[in-house]
Amino acid sequence: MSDDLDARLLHSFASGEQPLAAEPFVAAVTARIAAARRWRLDVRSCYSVVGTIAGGLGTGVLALKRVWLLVIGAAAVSVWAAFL
Amino acid sequence: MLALGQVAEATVVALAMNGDAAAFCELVRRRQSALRNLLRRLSRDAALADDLAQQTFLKAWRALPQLRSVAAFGAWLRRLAVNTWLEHVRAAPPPAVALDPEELGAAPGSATSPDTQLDLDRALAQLAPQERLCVVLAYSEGMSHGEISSATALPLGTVKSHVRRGSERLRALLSAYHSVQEHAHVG
Repeated sequence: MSDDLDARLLHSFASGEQPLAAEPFVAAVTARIAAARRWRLDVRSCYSVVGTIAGGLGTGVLALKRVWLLVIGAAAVSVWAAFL
Repeated sequence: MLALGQVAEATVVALAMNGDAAAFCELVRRRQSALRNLLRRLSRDAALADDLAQQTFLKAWRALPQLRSVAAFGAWLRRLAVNTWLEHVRAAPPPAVALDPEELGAAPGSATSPDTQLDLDRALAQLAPQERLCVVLAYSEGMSHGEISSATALPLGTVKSHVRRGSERLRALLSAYHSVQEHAHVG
């Protein structure tokens, strides 16, 4: 507790503390956490799609000589996205 | 088996740190009232305070695995709330509101009446954000000057000066208001 505090002000502050209903607030926080999780899943999915497309281009369309580099890169992006 | 509501907070924090969403909800349930009251004092706006409190809990959920000690959860959460409020103030500084005791003109009441709380809130709004923060943390949260300094990253001397001058200003504003009330009552 801070020293040199004014007793009247302390009383005014203490009397203003009121218990607030928990449930609507908890529901709002839970909804925000769920939305944030969904957004992170969407980002993860996007990275995964990019990785798959890059792999597909490398193996199927472009038929590059060093296609294994692209495949490894795509796999790395997918693994990295899984840990986001 | 014990319900989460009956479990000691340290255990609930440990569970939440491991990603247990139900445990985190229980922490929100336990801490929301104090945190929202603190932010209401700081922002003078219930809707804004609730939004900032939700942001604080969202940040807490994300950063909880990095919490070093379960015993530090309360202080850590309060620091998150203070930082969230400071970020909001920096992004959108609140306009200065001139306090006119005549404008309040409410019926006189006891020291604990809603009118007195309204006066206190309006008087608090007259303080600069950092001054208000230090006064609220000292009076409302019961924090020492050292604790306020570490929670707000303000130098100890600045905290002491903010609390002293802020208290003087609040006393002056409240006594000016009360004298207007008495005058109105007599007249």
